[in-house]
Amino acid sequence: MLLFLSLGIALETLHGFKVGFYLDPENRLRQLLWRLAHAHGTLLSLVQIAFAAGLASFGAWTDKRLKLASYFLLDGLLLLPLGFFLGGIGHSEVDPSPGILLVPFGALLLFVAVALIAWSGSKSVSE
Amino acid sequence: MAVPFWTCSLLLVAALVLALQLARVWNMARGVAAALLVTGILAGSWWLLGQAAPPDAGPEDWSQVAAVPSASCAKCHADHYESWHRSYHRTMTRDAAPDTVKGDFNNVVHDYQGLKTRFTREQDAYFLETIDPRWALMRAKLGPESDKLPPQQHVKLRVDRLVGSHWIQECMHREPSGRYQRLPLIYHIVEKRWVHSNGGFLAPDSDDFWSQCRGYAWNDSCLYCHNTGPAKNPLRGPRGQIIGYRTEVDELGISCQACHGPGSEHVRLNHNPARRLALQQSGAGDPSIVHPMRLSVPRRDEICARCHGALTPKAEAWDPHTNRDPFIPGQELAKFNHFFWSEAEQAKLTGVRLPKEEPEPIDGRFWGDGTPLTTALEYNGMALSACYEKGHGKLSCLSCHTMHGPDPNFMLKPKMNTNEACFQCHGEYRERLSAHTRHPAESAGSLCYNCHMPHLVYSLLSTHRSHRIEIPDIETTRATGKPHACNQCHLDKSLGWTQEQLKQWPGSKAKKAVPLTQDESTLSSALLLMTTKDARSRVMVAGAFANPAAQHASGVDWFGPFLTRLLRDERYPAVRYLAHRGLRVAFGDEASGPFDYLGTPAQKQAQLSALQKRFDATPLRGPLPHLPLNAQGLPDDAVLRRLLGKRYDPDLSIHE
Repeated sequence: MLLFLSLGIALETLHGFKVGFYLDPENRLRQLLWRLAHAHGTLLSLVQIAFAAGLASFGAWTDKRLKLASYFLLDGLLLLPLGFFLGGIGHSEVDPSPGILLVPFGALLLFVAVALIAWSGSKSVSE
Repeated sequence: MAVPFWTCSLLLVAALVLALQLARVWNMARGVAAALLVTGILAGSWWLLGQAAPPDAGPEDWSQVAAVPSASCAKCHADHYESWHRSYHRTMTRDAAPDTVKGDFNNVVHDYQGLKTRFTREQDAYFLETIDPRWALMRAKLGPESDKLPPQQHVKLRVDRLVGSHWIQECMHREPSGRYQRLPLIYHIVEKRWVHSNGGFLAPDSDDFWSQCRGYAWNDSCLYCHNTGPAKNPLRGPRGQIIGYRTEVDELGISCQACHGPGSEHVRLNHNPARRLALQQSGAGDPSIVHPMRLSVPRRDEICARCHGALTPKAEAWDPHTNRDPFIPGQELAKFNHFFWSEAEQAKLTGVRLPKEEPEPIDGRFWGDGTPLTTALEYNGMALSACYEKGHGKLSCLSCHTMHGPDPNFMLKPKMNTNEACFQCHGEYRERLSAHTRHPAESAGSLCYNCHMPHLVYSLLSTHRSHRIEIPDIETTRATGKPHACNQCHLDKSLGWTQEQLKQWPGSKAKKAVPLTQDESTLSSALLLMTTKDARSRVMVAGAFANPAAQHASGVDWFGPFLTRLLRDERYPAVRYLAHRGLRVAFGDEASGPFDYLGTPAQKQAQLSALQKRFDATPLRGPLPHLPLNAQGLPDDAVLRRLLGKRYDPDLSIHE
């Protein structure tokens, strides 16, 4: 979380000093992607913390399911912001650079992680 | 780095991490297998996606590619769309609607020499109640004062389409046959007033209210250069005569595809992200769309020349039924069109027989040396320039202009309204500018444009820079009536004075002096052109009076006494407008008015008399050696009468 908050500070600094590399009209896509990196990273960090804090009182977990959910949540937390960030380096007018390919990969793992959490949650309710 | 390398590297790292994680959950073998499966599915899907639209895919036959609305370009090219959207290219032609109409339709009445037109609005429909064209013709034949003339008759015509949004806006009425008729009142956006079309174009005063509109249909004239993908689609009667139109355009106004070619294939192919990423990483151009900067200089410039060049269609290359413009950007323009350099040449190419009049009809689009004298012919001017001919591809329209820059007015790249434009090739003058120009470096006389691209082009109640980059030449001025660049600022000086000055120019000593007449040697060149030459020369000189650089170089005190006299005999409204604008710029609206350049002859004479009296109250004080003054310090009317008596003044009509 500290890493992604630092990214937010870095972006604000770029705004503060009106750095063209980030703010020029032709770099609008970079602006959008880096904001997405900051937002996804910070929000998923909060999800990660909430998941860790609530683990003891929420869900019916097996060891394997818990490991998978935890790993995939962590993968999502890293791959999504990293994909957005790298996508904003060397992008064209129209599209992000290939770094963006990490995003669907991370999204898939995050999806599985959330599905596992939901599944475990529903099991604990039914029990 | 190529996209496969990036893609593979990233996926490999992700797969490795995933494999390690899964190995900790199950075991190494199952972990690696699961990770490979997931990565393989993702990589395979991506590869299959890439195969569906390879980066080198593009149309084989461009004529079969359909157009798309420019809004579909905005999805990906938002910045370019935005810069085009604020351009006047976009708004060249539009259907009349509340957000497109510039003129005042709030039940206002425009009075042109006693002929009234009412502009009204009914919800989102706009109307002109104006003079009936048949009555106007009768009035023109019988004369305005004839007893046989019945009372004024009016027609109410809906304004369906508009042409122009920058300088003027023309109104078009759609007839049941599909023909769009030009209407005789024009909204002059610059002055925010309605003007009669006699005063919107360069044409003499006329008793025929519809003189500038008869025979002018949007489908024939405006269509091809003011729209994208035009097809006239004339409907023909039994003898082949045009009886109507089913005119179609891909888009009203000049839109993306006018320069980039039809875009449907580009849009279809680039819905595929794998293709886009592959193209991005390869750095190669997308063959599914035309990018002017990837074309050779001639092909690139011909995209502009299609509308900014003098062209007439090659009949054999056009579909005679649709008359659809077959040119697609990137192709050779001359495959479909002839270029021409005079109206006589145009008439010959189109098979029109010129009337054998004496003197020959005056060319309304070109000076005698082929230099264009109206806008929309800029390519012809540039192509005649030594810079273009000897530049070996260095000079192109896009050397100075950009379609996607910050300046919608003249579409100039940043700093291209300064000497930086010329320094791109002629950097050697940067350090010795003043030595070359013989004017202070920061003055208007040291701006390359002012001498080498002077205002020799007229359109829409304004003068514009010539795009023929040339060294001003006294002989050409004498032969063609094209004002000399020096005298477009030094309005008070004679051609003889200019010749003397030019003798001192570096490298000009070898040039033989041109023999001049007494008047040319001693009288202001501007005054000579304004008194003796045809409306083409007069309108260019009239425009120069409003130029602050000319006012600074020539002084303005003499403008009033001379111009108020010269305007009395001026039968071209555009010349009157521009000359009076010179007074307005020099002295302000109040001190130079009232004067309505479109008023009745009696009104104009009365207004000019009052103005002349006011200006004559302060006698001119020298030194004004090239202006004919009497002992009282006022213009010598005898000299002016003598010069006006020599005036060559054939009828001329420039519809630009």
